[in-house]
Amino acid sequence: MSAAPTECLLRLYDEHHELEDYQKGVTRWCPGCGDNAILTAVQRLCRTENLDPVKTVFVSGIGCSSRLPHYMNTYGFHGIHGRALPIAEGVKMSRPELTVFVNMGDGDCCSIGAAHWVHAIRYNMDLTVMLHDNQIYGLTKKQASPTSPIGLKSNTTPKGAYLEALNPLTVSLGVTNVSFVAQVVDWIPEVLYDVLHAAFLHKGLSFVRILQRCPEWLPNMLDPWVQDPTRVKLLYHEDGIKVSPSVAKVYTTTEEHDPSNMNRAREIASEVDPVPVGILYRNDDVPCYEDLRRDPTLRTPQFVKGGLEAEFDKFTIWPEGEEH
Amino acid sequence: MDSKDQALIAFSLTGKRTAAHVEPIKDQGLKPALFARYRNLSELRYDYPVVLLPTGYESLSKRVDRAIEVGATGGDPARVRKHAYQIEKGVRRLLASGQKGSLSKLWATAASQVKAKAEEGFDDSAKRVGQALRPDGELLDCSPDVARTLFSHAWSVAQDKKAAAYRDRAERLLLRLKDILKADLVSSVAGRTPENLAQGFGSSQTDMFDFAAMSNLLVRTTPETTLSESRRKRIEWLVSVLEYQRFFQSDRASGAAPYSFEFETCHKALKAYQERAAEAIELAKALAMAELEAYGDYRESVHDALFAGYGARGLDAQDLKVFPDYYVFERADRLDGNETEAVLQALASGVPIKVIVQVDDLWDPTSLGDGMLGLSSKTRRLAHSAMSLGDVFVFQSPASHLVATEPALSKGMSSTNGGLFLVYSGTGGVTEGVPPYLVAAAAAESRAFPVFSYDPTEGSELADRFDVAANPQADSGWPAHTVSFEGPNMQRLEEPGAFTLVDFAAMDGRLSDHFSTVPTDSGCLAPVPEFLDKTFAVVPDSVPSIPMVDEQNRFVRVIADDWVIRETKRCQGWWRNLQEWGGISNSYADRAIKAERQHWEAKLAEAKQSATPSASAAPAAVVESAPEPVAAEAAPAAVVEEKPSDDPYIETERCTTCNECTLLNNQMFGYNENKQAYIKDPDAGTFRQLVEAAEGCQVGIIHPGKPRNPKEPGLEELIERAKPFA
Repeated sequence: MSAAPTECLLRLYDEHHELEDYQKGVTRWCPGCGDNAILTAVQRLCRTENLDPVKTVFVSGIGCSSRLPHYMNTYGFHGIHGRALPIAEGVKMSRPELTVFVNMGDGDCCSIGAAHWVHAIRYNMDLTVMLHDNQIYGLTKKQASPTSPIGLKSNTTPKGAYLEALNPLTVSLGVTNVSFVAQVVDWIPEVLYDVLHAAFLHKGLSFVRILQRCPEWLPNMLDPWVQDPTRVKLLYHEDGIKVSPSVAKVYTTTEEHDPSNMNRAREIASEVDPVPVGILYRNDDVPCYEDLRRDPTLRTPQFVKGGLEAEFDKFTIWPEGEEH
Repeated sequence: MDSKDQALIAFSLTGKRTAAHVEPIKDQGLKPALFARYRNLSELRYDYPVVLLPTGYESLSKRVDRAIEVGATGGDPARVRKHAYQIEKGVRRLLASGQKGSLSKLWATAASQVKAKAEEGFDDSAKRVGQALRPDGELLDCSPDVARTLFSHAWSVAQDKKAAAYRDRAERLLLRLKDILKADLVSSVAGRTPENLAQGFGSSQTDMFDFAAMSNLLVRTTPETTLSESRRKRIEWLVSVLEYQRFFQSDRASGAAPYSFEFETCHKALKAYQERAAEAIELAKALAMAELEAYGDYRESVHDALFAGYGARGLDAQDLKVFPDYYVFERADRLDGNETEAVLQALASGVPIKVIVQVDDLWDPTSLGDGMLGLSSKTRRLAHSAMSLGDVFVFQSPASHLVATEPALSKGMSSTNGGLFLVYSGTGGVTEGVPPYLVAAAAAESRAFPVFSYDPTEGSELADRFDVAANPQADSGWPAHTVSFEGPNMQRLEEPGAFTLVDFAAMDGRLSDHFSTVPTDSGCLAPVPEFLDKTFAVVPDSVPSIPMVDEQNRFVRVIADDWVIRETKRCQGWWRNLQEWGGISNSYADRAIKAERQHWEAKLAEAKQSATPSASAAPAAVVESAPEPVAAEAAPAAVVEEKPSDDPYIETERCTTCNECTLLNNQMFGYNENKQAYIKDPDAGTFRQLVEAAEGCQVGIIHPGKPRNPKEPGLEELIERAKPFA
């Protein structure tokens, strides 16, 4: 026996979790909402990896997608708008043994949270980040988001959006230290699951943009891609994802893409039609911030108190004659 | 054979001197000719002195060389090197004169003494190299006690590492365990009393708050879930055990001093181990439980029963490696039968113990009891017995080689296995004028006390575990050397030879009767290795001879008697065994290779004889066709087209769990184990619902099939609507 006794005992009585162990409550998303598909894929991923629910955390911001932690029977943090990533980074920094997922909407991540998004990619902490991109603010009833296509009429753009949509993939791939970027669509559940699984296994920040339908506010916007499988391009590679026969039967537009090829990844990221689906870029050698900054010093109450006192002392006005 | 040679051979056979030219060597101060160049060790750069460092020890020369490399980066490397070597020599002289101290202290003293004669830039050289010599440590020359100090230091370094590892682990666990207790208290009724709230606030401005009202309010919102009584008790017990253990120094010790692990004898060490066994099991159990508890992995239903019997059959190696090792320093001459048995018992019973046995004298009285000495076999027997146990680290080295073998020694000291360390100090014989370092080095050189290590953690085969590579010229029977000396006509003469046990024995005054000097031009002299290889029918035609030097470094021929040769042959046999174990000229392997070669040659000869030109002898046809390309696993695979079915079905794998169909009829549509939709019961609803579900499904994966109830109203229209989903 080579493992330590405690490790042996843990493995000997390792609990196996079913899908139901990760489910909680009834979703309040609209029927047909892509969030349901993402939730299912994530629950399957947790079951496959047998993640301990009490050591798994889902952090979200604000929006329809950010309700996801409510439906996971794990720890969760329904945060504030745009701040899911800093919260998740804080959790990971102080409790590196926890598995941390982040769920954000396109407004949450690409608008108010854009600064955090860019720096989170640069920090490359070990997080699995899902961008639920339905290209609209849904919870607040249809306002244009940064990823809304040009010309989209919404409550804030009644004459149509004036700007070209922001491309989360090209932005992510332009950030220093980027280590994992992928794109999936909610209507191919098998690929959605495979990509999320690969993202989970990647050490570092894995950024997955999920194009999802909003049946309430943009019911037909993605129909051309949903209904015509040839307008979806599957990226496959032996170091990326592999395509099953059943998926290959429907989705015949494919490209073999090596995820280590950054130049090609950036070209693919700019493609809109057919929409690329798969892992665009992966680099396992980028260091994680929490590893670079890991301090072996225990945060004992005395240590914390000493640090605080030292800081306070810098601003203390000492009575005359009193030593400090 | 002339009469002069006859007298030599007679001495060789009987040890009796029958002629004037066969003279006793007693009181002549002879030394092996190989030592002629090493009369004053303090003038030489060699393994000693050593510097004791926090991580082990290192020779002064090596340390200075490294410091010169660093110090020389500031410029003028030649000057820095020259001055550094001058100071290093000064340090050696100080040690030789009996001074003691740290490297920095002796370096400064030596620098101040050399300084008067030094050149420009000396201070700069001394400072630069001196700074690069850090970290500082005690300097140690090859004194009679050097082995004791080095082993003790290496053991302390290993134990310090263990203690630091324990402290880190225990502190981490204690912090977490206490946090659990603290969190429970804070969220409990007891933790929300006015007094506790006031205490948590701090010392100033407490009069601004009504803690009673605050308590009253907070108590009403106390969480329902708190620690169970059993968990709280368990955590409190874990905290208590981890804080008040006595195996490591602790700030929180209950007043009882930590245990000592250094013992004079194995008897005492074993007794202490047995007395502390229950406490050791308790601590090992507490560590294992705390790891589970601190991270929320302890489950009473499973782990209570397992931990109830923890350590009942003793602790295993994984548990024991946490604890300090027991340390016993023994002297071979005091190892009686009982203590030898205790050593082996301690090593055999899996006790984490390191036993050091120092041998001062390699010559023991023989069983004849007539004052005769023989090459000691005590350490050999001990080493054999320890190695036969299989899982014990065994190490042997003379004190002279402890610097070269430091990695193996440190590894053995850090090993979780028991360890036996045999060391020869070179101080026990009558070797006047020869420093202990040279005597010890001669023991290794002559194979009287070879260097070896047996490390059971290195692999499952002896070839991996046993190592003799640290011996001088380990591949040879005897280390070969060439002695240079001045001839009768003042010419330089060179004589190849070997250093054997005969040379080693000739150094010891107690064995001088077995040696005689003879004229250097005697005709029947043979170097020892050559003599050992000879077989004589009746009367030997030569005598074994070795080169020695007297106190004026004059070359002298010395011959040895038959007793010395017998001891040398025994020594040779033992060394041959060690070589084989170490994989050098292994006889089993040699035999297997020889047999294989014979077999192969026989087959080749047979093939040659029977060889005739035929089609079968022609070269095999070259396969021209390339292998079939293997489709990349990642590439999409082709799929056979499925026929449409009359029954309704869902392409379940493509379901996006959007809830459309299940909200329509959750009896007809259900979710599988992956939460993807399938037709649970086609008869639990209408064909209309199937068609509506197909129309509502955004990914178009529901196929209504054919109506199952021909009497359902509006079928004609529904069948039309179902056609796109066939």
